[in-house]
Amino acid sequence: MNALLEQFLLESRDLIAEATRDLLALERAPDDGALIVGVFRAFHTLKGSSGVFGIQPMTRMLHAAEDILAAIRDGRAATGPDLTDALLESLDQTARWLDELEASEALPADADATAAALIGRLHGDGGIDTARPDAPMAGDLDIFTGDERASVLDAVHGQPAGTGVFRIAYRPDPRCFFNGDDPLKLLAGLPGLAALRISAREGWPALDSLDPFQCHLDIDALVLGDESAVRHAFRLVADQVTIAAIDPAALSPQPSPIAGAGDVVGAVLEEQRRLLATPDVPPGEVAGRWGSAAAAAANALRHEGRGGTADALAAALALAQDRLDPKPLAEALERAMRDRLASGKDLAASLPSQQPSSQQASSRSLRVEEQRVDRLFALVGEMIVAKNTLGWLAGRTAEAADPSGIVRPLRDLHALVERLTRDMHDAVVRIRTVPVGQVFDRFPRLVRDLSLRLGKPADLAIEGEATSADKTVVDALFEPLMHLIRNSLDHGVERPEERRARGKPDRATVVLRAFHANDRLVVEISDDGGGIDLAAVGRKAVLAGVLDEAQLALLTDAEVAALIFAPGLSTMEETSDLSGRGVGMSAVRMAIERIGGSVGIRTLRHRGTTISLELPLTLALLRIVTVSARGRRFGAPLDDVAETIRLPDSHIQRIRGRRAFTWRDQVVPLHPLGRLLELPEEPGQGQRRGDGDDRLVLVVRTGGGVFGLEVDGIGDRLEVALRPMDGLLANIPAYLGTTLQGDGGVLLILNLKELPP
Amino acid sequence: MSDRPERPRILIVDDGSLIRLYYRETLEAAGFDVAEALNGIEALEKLLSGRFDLVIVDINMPKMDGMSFLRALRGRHGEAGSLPALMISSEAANHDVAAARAAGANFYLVKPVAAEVLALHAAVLTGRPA
Amino acid sequence: MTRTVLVVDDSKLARMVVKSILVKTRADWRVVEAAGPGQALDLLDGEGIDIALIDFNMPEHDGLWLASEIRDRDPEMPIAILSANAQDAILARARELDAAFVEKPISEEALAAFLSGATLKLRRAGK
Repeated sequence: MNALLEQFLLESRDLIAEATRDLLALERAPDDGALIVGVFRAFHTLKGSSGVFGIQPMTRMLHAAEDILAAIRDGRAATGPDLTDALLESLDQTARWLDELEASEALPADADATAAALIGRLHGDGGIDTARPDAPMAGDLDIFTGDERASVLDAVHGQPAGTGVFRIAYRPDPRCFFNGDDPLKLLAGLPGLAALRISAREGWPALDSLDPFQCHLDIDALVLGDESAVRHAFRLVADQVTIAAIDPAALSPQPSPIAGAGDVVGAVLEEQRRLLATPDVPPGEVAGRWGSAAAAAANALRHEGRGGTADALAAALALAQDRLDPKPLAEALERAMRDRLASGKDLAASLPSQQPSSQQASSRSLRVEEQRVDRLFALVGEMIVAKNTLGWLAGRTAEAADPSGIVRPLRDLHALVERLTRDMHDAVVRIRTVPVGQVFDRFPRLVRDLSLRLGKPADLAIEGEATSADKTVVDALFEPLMHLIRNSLDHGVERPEERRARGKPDRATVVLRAFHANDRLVVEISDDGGGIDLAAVGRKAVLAGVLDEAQLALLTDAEVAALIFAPGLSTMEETSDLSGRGVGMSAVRMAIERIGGSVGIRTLRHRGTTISLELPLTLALLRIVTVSARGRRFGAPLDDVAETIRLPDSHIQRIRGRRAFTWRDQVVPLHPLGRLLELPEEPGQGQRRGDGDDRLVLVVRTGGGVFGLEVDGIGDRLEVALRPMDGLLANIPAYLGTTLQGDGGVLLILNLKELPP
Repeated sequence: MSDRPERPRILIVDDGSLIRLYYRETLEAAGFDVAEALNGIEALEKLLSGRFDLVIVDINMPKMDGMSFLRALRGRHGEAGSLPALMISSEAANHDVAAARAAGANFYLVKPVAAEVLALHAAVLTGRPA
Repeated sequence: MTRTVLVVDDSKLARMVVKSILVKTRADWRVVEAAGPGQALDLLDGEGIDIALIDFNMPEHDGLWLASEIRDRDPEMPIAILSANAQDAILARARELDAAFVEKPISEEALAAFLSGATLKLRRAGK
């Protein structure tokens, strides 16, 4: 993909986001001139850039949208929900086409039809009546003969560069003569008139019923020149004329090769046939001509995979050269063309768009501030110096008689490298830091569409979109937020009648809010809907077996509300087609926890609900302690470890087959890590531990309670970069992720919250 | 006819440096090897010293225009004269297509040429599989 | 056939310019002047006006207002709105009122075209 296209994709996607924002805002404030101009400019720029790539369906569609927006801007038309829908759809379609361009560098085969349909929608919708006759499409040049078009093209190239070609459709008012209008005179006076067609608007009536003082004419013309001059010429009859700029290439008599790529091979073969049939070729050029025609034709066939036919042509060429007669070659060529048509063009040359694309459409690039990269660059430089020092030290160590002199410099170097590594990690993290607005931006549109579909008018308010966090965290937010917002609209927000009955404003408000608190990123989704029916949740939880009635009675309201995140519960909610996707609230909770976050909920019946997500700012350095069980090493996040103790065997209580111990006046269950993870026992392990030995226990305290994790060994405390699980392992609840050890091995980091049975 | 090479060699003949760059980038990305010439005379020289599978030539060039170049090319003996030629121009009037055909162009495209169109025609004319 | 033309413009100079062109091209016609819409409407009744040339840009009521008033009384009278400002909105309204639009500064040619059309209309209506 070339740099031009990359730039086009980047800029256009930005423009689409901008235009979407402005369009949604415009719906709220239809008279805001600045917004209208903003949307207009975005479409205008999109249209202009698309022209560079010759993707005519896109350009045409954007042009139609731009015209509508110009009409709105000039006060000739008004916005409305249908029109906004059409404009939003055209932005969506543009985005889809951009993805296609990214993957295969061409628009899909149905682009023309799609564009035409959207243009129809844009024009037909909202009753945009600019009192103009139907705008001739840029492609509507059929009224002119091939010769006329060709001569216009000639004329274009006699003009200075940048001269435009315009398609004029002039439909004079029938009474125009009485007003002193003289269409013919106007045309005669047009500089740059290159083609003209005057026809009867509705066929000529019978002579005795013809009123010569009425204008029955339709005038179509192609005019060269610059747009303002052309428009100026027609300014006084602007309401009877459409003027459209056309791409001179559209005048070309050659069929556009972009359509039907199979035609290219056919076209090439046909052209070689014509070449061979051209008379009066200077004798010295004949051999070259035949040879090149045979080569071109054979290559075309080979391109399509018809190697056999290609070889036949080669043989025919040899024959022709022997006999000094083109006939064998010409006949072989014609045979090849006939065979090709007969066997269908299933081996047809396809535009690259039909080749499997190796790229996914999603954009994986980051916009980064230069200075952040510079900082990283500087740190890397320092790191290189440190590395060199290490090399020098290593050399010294080999030679030194007394290694103790190395210890101090080695320690210093280690400290330096440690600092540099931390700084580099920090620098990279900063590069990866993006504002949550990136993800929030996608929701106003969602809310609008959803609220329309559900019949529940609702507005989305966004706060704190500049709040930033690591790109991975922010990206991971999209799915959970989408589910939460859908849920809010689907189940939280009441129908307008109900809201009215409770004295609430008809339009519900959903707030998406982000802020930093205590080194964490907090994202909240609040609605002013009906709140959660705690009693119903409690009942469902009991029914689902999450807990029993006695336990339910002991819970606070907040804890009952939190039950909606319990597994097995959410799927019992009535699923509408919107929220049901197999993604329940418990899945949301797991997704958030997987990236090191937590979920919370506050709700007030009839007032509303707020769901809060607490997330780490980065998938940053995690403090862990390494532990071992049954011969394997794991990392346990220190945040969850309240204390590490040696527990004498005698302090272990055995209750109903389970083991427990007392810790700070609490009776706490004790679980061996090896058993929790179902690790196979090492041979001889059973014998190694005798009764009376102390156990090593990590006292783990998480939101889910306190328990003791018995391990075989406790190792170092480390700060590591946590990488979340992905791929096939992503759904294993026992692990938070992995980290790379110094020796290159991978250490599994435990998800202590999910471990206890 | 010679074997199909892995990376066909294309000679671009055009006096515009931007156009040559655009064609080069497009064709190299599409898997072709590219050489350039600024006009017909340079092109003929280059063709003497190298083996090519396709020449893409603009009609309008100083010193020696596309048509003259083609005629000179076709006048050579043997394979050099049989090099497939793709002519590119802004003229699309019928008489020019005819003239190009008469000069020995094997195919004809009209500017502006989209990248994928160029790559496709190059592939077809050099026999690279789809 | 001699006709009577009403020229309405608050600027005396502008009226002089129009009148001079009329005198030059239609020497036998009668020209009646009004400085404003009120005066114009008064003259309309008594003076046997055949054609009206109305400046758009007048204080109190603009030319389109006057044209509309005239139309209420006479749906057929040829009317031209004169203005330097060929704005879409003005053109559209003039079209609605079945009035022509002549761009200022007035050229002999443009006015002549309007007058031809106007006389054609009048003749067809048998006036």
